[in-house]
This record gives sequence, structure tokens and C-alpha cells, in this order.
Amino acid sequence: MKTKIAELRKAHRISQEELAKGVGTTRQTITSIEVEKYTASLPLAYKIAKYFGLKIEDVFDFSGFDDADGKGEER
Amino acid sequence: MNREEFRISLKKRMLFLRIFTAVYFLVFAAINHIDLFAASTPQNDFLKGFISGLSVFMLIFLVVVNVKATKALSNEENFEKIYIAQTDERSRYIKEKCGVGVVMPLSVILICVGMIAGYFSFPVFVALVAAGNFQIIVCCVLKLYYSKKY
Repeated sequence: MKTKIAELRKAHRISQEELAKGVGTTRQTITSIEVEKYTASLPLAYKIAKYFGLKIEDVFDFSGFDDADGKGEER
Repeated sequence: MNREEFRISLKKRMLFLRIFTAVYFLVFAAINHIDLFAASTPQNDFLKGFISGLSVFMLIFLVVVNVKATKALSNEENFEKIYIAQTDERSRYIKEKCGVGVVMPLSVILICVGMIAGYFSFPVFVALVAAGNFQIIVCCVLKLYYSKKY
């Protein structure tokens, strides 16, 4: 899933380590989410969005989930 | 699991670990004083060496885990690190994918049963220990693969 985490981090001048600490996860998880290897769970996505003061859909791109059958992307 | 629940769980685990370490140390000391093998054959010597080596490794491992857990509970920064490492969703997902929670205890049981069986039959010991080690290797390879994938 595409995200704007890297852009937001750069804009706020925050390192992956700081973001990870802020949302209670590891730096590796943040890296994996940024490079689209791993899809964050709803609670983690919420925490990340809240950290930047945004809504989930402003940080994560849900366009892949808008297909007709409603199944969307799979992990 | 929130921080306080994790702290309570860690304290419980530590108590269990300390009791287990003490019992393990007593059993280890007793086994080293009793010669369970009737004769000194190459197979018996190998088995004796294997059991001694693994026992020492286990003892060191238990002491290290004890020290780590004690440090985590005494220092808030260390506790935070362990809490994040234990509750990180990606790590948990990878662990679930490679079945660490099932494979590791099963492998330990296989190796322990193999060591006990070794006193009666050497081929059974070799088969069980090999199966246990194979499971651990497969689990580690899968963990490495999924760590790269996710």
C-alpha cells in the first residue's frame, strides 16, 4: 500500500527512529511500511496518522481497495 | 496488551524463569555427579558430551535471559525497548508466519526426549535430535525469508 509517511517525515524533519518511538513500533516496521513491503494494521495506521495530526486516508492510499468486489489488495 | 499488563506478565514470567533456572541447575549438578552410562563406548561418550554441552549452553542462556529481564524491569528505557520489540506487529506477523510459537517448543521437547531416549537407544537419540534441529533450521530460514519479504 502506498503511503505518504516518508514525505511527511521529511516535511516534519523526523527520523524513522523518532516516528517508530512515537507510535510504539520498531524502525524496521516503519521502513517496511514506507517501501510498501508491509501493510500497517488499522491501529498502527491510526497512530501514525494521529502522530502527524492527519486522517488515515491522508497518510495511506486506499485507492487499491476501491475495486468493485470490495476485496482490494491482499498482503 | 498495554504496558502495565506487559509489566505484570514479565514479572510472572521472570518468577517462573527463576524457579526453572534453579531447578535446572540442581538437575544439571545432579546429572554431572551420577554416571548414568554403564560402559564407556564411543556412542555413550558422544551422548555424554552432547548432553553436557547442551546443558551448559542452556544454563548460560537461562542466566542471560534472567539478567535481561531483570534489567528491563529495573530500567524504564530498557523496559520500553523490550515492550516495543515484543509487541511490534510486523515482528509478531513474521513469527506467526514461520510458526515460532509452535515449532520452537516442539523442537525443544523433541531434543529433550531425544536426550532421555539416548540412555536406551542411540539411533532414537540421533533421529529425535536431528528432527528437532531440522525444525529449528527450517524455522530460522523461514524467519529470515519473511523478514526480507515484509
